[in-house]
Amino acid sequence: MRRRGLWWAAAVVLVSNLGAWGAAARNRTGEPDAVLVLTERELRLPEREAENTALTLRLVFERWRERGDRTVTEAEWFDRAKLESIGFDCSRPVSAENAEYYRTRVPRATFAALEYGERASLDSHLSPIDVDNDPEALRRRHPDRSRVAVVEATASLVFVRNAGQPPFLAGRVTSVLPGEINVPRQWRGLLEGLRPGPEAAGVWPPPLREPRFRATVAWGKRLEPWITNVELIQPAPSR
Amino acid sequence: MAEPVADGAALTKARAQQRADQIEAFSRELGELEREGVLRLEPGDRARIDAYHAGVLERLAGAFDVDRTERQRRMSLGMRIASLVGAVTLSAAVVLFFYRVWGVLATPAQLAVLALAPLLLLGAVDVAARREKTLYVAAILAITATAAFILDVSIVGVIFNMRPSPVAFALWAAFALLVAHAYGLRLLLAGGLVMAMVFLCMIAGRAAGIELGASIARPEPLLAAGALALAASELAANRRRAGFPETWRLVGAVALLLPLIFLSTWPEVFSYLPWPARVTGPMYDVAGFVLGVAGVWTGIRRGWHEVVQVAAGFLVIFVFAKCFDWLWDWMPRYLFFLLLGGLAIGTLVVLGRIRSRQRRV
Repeated sequence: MRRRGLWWAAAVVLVSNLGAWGAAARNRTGEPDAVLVLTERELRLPEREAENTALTLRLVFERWRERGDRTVTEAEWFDRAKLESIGFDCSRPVSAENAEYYRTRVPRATFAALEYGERASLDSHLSPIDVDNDPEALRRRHPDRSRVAVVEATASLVFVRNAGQPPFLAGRVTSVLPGEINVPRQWRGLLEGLRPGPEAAGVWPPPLREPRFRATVAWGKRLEPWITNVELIQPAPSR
Repeated sequence: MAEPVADGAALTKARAQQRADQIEAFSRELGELEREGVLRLEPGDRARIDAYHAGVLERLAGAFDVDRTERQRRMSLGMRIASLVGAVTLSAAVVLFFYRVWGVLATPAQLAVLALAPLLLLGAVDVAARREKTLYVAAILAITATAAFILDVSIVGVIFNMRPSPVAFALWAAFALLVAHAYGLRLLLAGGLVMAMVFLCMIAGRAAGIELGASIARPEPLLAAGALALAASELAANRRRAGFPETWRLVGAVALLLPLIFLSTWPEVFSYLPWPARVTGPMYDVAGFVLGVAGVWTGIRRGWHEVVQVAAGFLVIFVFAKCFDWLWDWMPRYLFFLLLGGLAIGTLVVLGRIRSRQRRV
């Protein structure tokens, strides 16, 4: 009896591992869904930790709360209709009486299109430009696979009081999944020396700086990313 | 392995301990009766009884390692606490050791270590269980094996940058429940049930399209899971193992009752139901009172002490939460606290009566 239970438990371990390896292999077979060349602006290095010898890069995209430089006065592309299209119930009037109702809506799981756009800023050049519960529909609307990655994401509903103007509803992409990308051993040595020390722990957002590396990231069939190349960026000579 | 048989009945460790306690109590009471002069056995009778009991205790100790004295019982409690601390610290050691070294390993080596660790620990559980009847060491190793398997699935997800999935909880629950049933380990059983319930919440959350993390804050699936766990406690597979029905009922009662506090107080935040709070709130208020009282009543009737305790504790918290919900805003503070004090005294009276009734039963 005991032995039988033990064999079943061992079978669960084997099946789980084989299933995960198979899923990872399926993700990486064939043409990737997207391949983007990102830099340290979009892939942030974590601070050094004595207790963890692995290295994962945090995927950073432009978000409202990181843009403390302006007051939000419009929903832009992520408006009420888009919120309803991914399942938020926005049927109640958008008024102060319903503010509590809208504030207590639970974040929803969806898919987001993250676009890489060249600009002069030192902030992340990756920004969400669309959401949809159907990743294939999202890809059809944004077919450029070298600039747009389709990723699983979490979207929240925001009730904006909009002082002096009628309140409005806006959505925002609060996280993407996975939010961190593992760096395989062959590139870790390259990045290890660039990691900030433990004194940087808890400092968010980290100070802006010229990117020191670029990494090619591919998203596969299961919309899961992996790093295919990392290279250091030589600093421009000072004049 | 066949169950050791004493007095014609198949024994579990709990029943063996019960018998040993009974013999010890009988022996002490017989001594008292003789001292008081109420009863005096013939020397030959007393010797026969003592020899018979010594033989039974010897057999029980040999088969189940039962405690024969108060001192041994205290030692056993210490061993249980040490075993829990050992399980937690060993699990932490396995996880932290892997974090410390995985950066220096290539991906195939990482995957091999992750998959082999729970398998090797399972082997160690089996070896320990064969060598030691009390299963203290086996329990420590079984919990560590479960921690290693949780680490395995989590880190494989990190290595391949996989999207989070509720299936991980189903796998962990299956592993914990299989090992718990194989060796009769109650703590692991409770852990496996909790993970299975988290899985159910996540599946419901995924079906409703909400974020996985937020699905734990929508506890309605737990009501069904709790009721199922209570029913499952009566299955033959659980009744055969000492302490298993009690563990199923304890987890089931908590899962069935605890969510009602949140669902009745903040239905708009915690409920999946699309109806307005003025409908769902009172609905869960009624459910809370009815299920709480039904829990106490059923527990007393069927001798399910753990269900009585959970349901009584729930009713106390639920009544206080409801008082706060209904009365705090419009009642003067002194009157509110006076009311709560009165309720506390009322609760003591009711629980005292239930206790006397249990004593009579």
